[in-house]
Amino acid sequence: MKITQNHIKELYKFTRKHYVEYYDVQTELVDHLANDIEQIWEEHPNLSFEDARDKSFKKFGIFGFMDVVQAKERQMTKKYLKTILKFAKEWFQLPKIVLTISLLFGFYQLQKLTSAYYVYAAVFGVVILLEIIVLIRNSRKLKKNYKETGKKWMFQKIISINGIGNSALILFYLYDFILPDSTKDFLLMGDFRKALSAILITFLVIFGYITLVVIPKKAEQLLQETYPEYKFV
Amino acid sequence: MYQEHTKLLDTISIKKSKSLEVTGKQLHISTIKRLHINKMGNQKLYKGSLQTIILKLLETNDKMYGYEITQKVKELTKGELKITEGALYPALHKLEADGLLDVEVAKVGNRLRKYYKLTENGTKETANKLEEMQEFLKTMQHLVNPKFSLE
Repeated sequence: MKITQNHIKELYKFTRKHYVEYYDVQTELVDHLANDIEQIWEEHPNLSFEDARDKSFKKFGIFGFMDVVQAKERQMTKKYLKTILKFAKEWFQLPKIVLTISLLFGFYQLQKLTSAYYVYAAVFGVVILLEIIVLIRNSRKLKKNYKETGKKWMFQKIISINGIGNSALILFYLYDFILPDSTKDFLLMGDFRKALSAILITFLVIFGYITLVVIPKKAEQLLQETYPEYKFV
Repeated sequence: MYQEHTKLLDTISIKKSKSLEVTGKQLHISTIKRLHINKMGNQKLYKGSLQTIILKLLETNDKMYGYEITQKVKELTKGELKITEGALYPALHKLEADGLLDVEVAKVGNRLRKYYKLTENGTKETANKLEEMQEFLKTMQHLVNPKFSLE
């Protein structure tokens, strides 16, 4: 017996029911289950589709598809970080390195002003605010997309939601680290601490720019590179 | 004896009673559990080599899909090693993340199929891993069976 188109639809539903949200992960699992069911039918031709499917699913162990989904998430997060690094490298090569050094120097000099604390805080505030705005906009966009196509792609979610959300979190931690406790302390900080603050805030601006502007702009191209199946659907 | 028991384990199912009859012998549940753990231990020995096994298979077969890998391993080891689905895909995804594997998708019949193949880095890493494996086997041979060692 062979798997029919209807069975394939059923299998997609089955993976969704077992907490596999993303189409890319579903597709691989559906093909696996379909192959295994056909194999099971060769040995037990009288088994119903549902029984053969459950028999095959049992082989995934008590956690079902969870391990597969988790491994995929780790893989995609790693890919996202690599993508950020790739774009970040540009900022340490000509011509962009000039801009990086100017930013660094500018922020360092700024610390001599009495209002330095406020400027630093404002930079933080703006980047975090932008991230929250983009986060909300993207999550609406993805929901709409899902309604239209019925498909979620893991990498797309990482690019447009998880990545930005995580960066916002990192920034909150950094905030505490870069800024002194009170407004006057900038003037009292040692050179090392000053340099570190300037480096971190420069890094923050570049990081924000990459996650909020560069990667989303190239999202479509990145998705096509990540998912060869993108062209089939 | 051990092999006989593990084979039996494949064919018996544990009932509600605390002991169970296997070919006329009464086996207590603790014996069964122990045997089962032994069998699991056996699979654990292979587990650390899963990546090497996958890489080696892809080196000889150019491109393969997940299910094909499980079947091929079963066939080559005559059923001794069964790669579980819950371990195979995480391993494949990890190798892909490390840049050792590349993916290709093709429409086969009524469904999409994801093929894995070695990248350039993957081919290099396969050679390294196989070398490591040979070293490992040699060391184990020395440790476990010093009399019959080759050197």
